[in-house]
Amino acid sequence: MVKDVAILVGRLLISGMFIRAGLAGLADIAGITGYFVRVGLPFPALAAWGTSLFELAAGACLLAGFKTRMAAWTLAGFAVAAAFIGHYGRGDDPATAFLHMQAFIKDIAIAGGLLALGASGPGRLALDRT
Amino acid sequence: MSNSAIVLIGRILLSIIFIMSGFGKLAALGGTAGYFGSLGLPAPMLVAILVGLLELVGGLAILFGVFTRYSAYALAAFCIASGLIAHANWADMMQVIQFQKNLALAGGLLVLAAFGPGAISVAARRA
Repeated sequence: MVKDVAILVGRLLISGMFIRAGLAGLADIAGITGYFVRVGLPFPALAAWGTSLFELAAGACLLAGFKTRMAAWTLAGFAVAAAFIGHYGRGDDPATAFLHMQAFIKDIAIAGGLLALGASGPGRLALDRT
Repeated sequence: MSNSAIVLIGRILLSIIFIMSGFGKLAALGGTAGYFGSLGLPAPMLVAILVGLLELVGGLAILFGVFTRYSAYALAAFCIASGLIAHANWADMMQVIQFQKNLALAGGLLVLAAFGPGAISVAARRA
């Protein structure tokens, strides 16, 4: 039971950033689109809708423990992609480059936690029956 | 891919940030202590040494899969504490995002603590 509670709290903590980012993205599609244009993504408006909806839906899946492994693994891939696109080798001055480097390895670490969640599954306090 | 292989990759990805930042803190203790002092922490040099050791040793433990549960719980608590201390200005959206990332990192560590290091680990070799 301690294990199930630890995984539930873990799911709650991990899902928060994705649910907030997804909601914030949907509330400001123009702003996200502008950011995607600046980092050079193709189809920036489509990507803004797609990533925001994906973050919200997959985050909600982690929270509820629904299709948990699939959600965790796709979010892990998303976090790695976002780390490379948003932070890898970015920053024009040393101070900004250092902040991007930190953000990069933090996103990579979050992906690592999502892989652990994909391996463990959601525990018993979840909609999934495993 | 087996769960043990997946959790090994997860451990590698989770450990990098702590090993790098623990080593970075210990290699530049004066700068770390100065930063901690600017945040208003007491005994900044002592805290710098302890935090650097916690991150470096805890990160290596997770990488190799030894004392994984203790290390993961300790680093999860550290992530939440450091988030509350260093990213506490929630009027600034960037700080909210950084704080939530610290929470997500702590969440991943809790899952690792619950699941354990898997079969590809020092702990499993010894057992």
